[in-house]
Amino acid sequence: METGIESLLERVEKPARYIGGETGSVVKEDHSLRVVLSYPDVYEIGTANQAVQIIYSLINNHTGAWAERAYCPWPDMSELMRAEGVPLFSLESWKPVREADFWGITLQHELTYTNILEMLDLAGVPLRSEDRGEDDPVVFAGGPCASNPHPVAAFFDFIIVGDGEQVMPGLISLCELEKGTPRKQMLEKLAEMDGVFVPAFPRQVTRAVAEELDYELIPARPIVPSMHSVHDRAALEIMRGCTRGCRFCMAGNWYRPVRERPMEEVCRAVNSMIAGTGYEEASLSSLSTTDYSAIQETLAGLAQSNPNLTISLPSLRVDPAAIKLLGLTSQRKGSITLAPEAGSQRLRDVINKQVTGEDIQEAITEAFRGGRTTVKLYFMIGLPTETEADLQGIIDIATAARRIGRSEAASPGRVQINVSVASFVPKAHTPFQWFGMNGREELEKKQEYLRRNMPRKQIKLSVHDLMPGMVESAIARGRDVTADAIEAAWRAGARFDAWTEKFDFSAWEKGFAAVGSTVEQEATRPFTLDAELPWDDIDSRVEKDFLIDEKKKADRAQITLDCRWGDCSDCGVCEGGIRMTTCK
Amino acid sequence: MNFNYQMRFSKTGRARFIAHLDTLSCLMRAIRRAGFEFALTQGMRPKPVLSLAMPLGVGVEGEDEICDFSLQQRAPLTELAKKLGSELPEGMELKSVGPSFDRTKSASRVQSVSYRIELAGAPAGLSEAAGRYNGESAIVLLRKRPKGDKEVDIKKYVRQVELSEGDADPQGITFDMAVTSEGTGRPDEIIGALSGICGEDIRISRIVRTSIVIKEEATPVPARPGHNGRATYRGKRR
Repeated sequence: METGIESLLERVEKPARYIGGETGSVVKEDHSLRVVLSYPDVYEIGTANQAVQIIYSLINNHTGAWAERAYCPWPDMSELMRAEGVPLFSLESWKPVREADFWGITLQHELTYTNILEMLDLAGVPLRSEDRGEDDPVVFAGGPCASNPHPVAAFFDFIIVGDGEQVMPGLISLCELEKGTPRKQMLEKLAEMDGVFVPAFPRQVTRAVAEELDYELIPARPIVPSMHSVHDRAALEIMRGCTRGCRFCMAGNWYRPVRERPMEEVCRAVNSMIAGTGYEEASLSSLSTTDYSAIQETLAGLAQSNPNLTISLPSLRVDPAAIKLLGLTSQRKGSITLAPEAGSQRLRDVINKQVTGEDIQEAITEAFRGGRTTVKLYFMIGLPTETEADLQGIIDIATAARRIGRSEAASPGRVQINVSVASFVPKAHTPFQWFGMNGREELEKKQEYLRRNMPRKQIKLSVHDLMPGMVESAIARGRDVTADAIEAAWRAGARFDAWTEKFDFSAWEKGFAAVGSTVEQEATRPFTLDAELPWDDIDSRVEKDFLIDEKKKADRAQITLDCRWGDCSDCGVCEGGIRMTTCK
Repeated sequence: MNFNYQMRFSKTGRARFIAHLDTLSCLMRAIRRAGFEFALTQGMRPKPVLSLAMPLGVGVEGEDEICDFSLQQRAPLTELAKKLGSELPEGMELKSVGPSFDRTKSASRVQSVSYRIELAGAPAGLSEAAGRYNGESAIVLLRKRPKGDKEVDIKKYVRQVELSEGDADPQGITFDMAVTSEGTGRPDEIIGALSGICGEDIRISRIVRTSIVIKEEATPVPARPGHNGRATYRGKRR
């Protein structure tokens, strides 16, 4: 097999994607089980994913099993693999993934789903759980999109719902114990575990929640890719969960409650990750990093211990104080991204994005005064209750940003405002799950309005393609039958759908036609509040009544305060040991 | 004050697929993991001072590659060798590391490189082809480039090739390739030329760069013309 792979590598683009042997990768000669972990996209995207890193290091450092990795081969490679009969192999051992005991694939977003099928097919593993035999690996999933597992349920033997590190140790122990048990019996046992959804034995599953972020589980020596990856930096999750309560946000509603890591642990972990990887940049990641209680002290502490380290803060709030924080990070002064999400105060109240017009103006002012020349503004169109006034609001904010830039920036001529506009995609387990996506025609009209009316000088408008969002929407709130559409789309050639140049809408049209529907019909379907939802068997721990209340408040443009600073909003998540833990 | 070092390392096996820029990152990270701090370049965006004598093509192995780098502090040599040796990624091995007293980078003084091509199957006429290659005064190839193809006489760079004989068939081809201010050749061009003479494909199992020959630094450094082509007077050197 080795020489077979090498001969392929001589002929493909970026062969370093497939060589393994990276610093931090693990080869475990003695192991109880062989597990392969996958992110269903190409290597340089997949290696940047923290979830795979966390589970990889958990399995390798804390259990007797061996975790390897496999990513989705780029089409030039998969073509050669098929032509020469080389099955999908893991990077660490260059052994077929098919021969592993378990194969876990992370569900990070819907447009990676066809790559799951591509990888199963390349591995020579039957696509559907029901067709797999005793010799096939047990294929499982996890990640945020497990919140609605139904569209991919047919392809998996089991699906972890919630925090993987909470489930994984018990799961590995059980699987070690049950090694050799017939598949069906094994799955029956797994179905009894908390946080595990087994499509063959469906039942109500409650999301698994880690009460705190365990220091011991931080990948202290994460894998350092041997080739350029999308995030060439050490990444540490400093906080999980966000209770800002944005009504469109899947992660904010799913990963409750807020669990902050103690500041001392953050500093210690960053230092050890930097020493263990040789990176010059560390990212403090979370859903809203500037909400971390001790962010200022942490940045100051890190700057003191590592004067040459660049700290990057993803997910900045539109908040002048947050922008000021950037001054502490010695981050390169290029552009800064702010996400007001909606153009008018009314619509921002509808979506519960608690940012005022003054906040936006002050944040932009602060960004330009801080030496930046480019401000990127991110908006959504197609939000529930949206009117033309809300679209005009987007234009007004962009125009105001340009005016502020011209008066505040050191070189007014170089000021650039980049306005990025995506279409709202309703997600399961959010207060907006009952809304359908806007139809194609309606969204096209809205895009056209922006294109026609947005001033051009020093403002660059980029509008996301509609159709990938439509497909995402059609899958996100999908049902079991959606799996047939995904498989049919893959058979029609859909893969790497998140890549603009690879996205093939006609394949998706064929896919949904195969189940007697269309992408648009699925994407735009609303649900009534009393309807049974396909994902009702997944209990996110957020009460449905809370989501219904939030939906009704949205209809009235009424906000709900963040329970971190305001009263408890009774979402139902905090229970027993599960509660908000802040580091201050 | 910077402290300059030179390391020699090999990059073989699967590591041959790591591209040039990624190799630089791998080396930089290895040096940082080993606990040493880079000297930084001057300018708006300071970068670590590290360079390779010559890029290695993707898929080509290197047995004795040269890397120059500068540190902020003097590093104890045994410690440097030990720590650095254990931090290089799989397939890259430290051969030696020591202080460097050269004023210019190795990259600007590469004189020639040597290759060994290991064969998976040699055509019958290879020995004769090698003889004919060595006898020709010029062999002109067409180098395909996006900006228009260019004719190159590869004999200017590789004067002769040698075959290492196995039991019966040639096992490998070795040659030295000159690196000049006008350019140099590529190992696959030499294989291509030999295949052309044979009239048959030469199947290769490995391409290995066995050494890089660096020109000695002339001392003292001669006055060099300024960037605008005129000699500039810079005052007395202190």
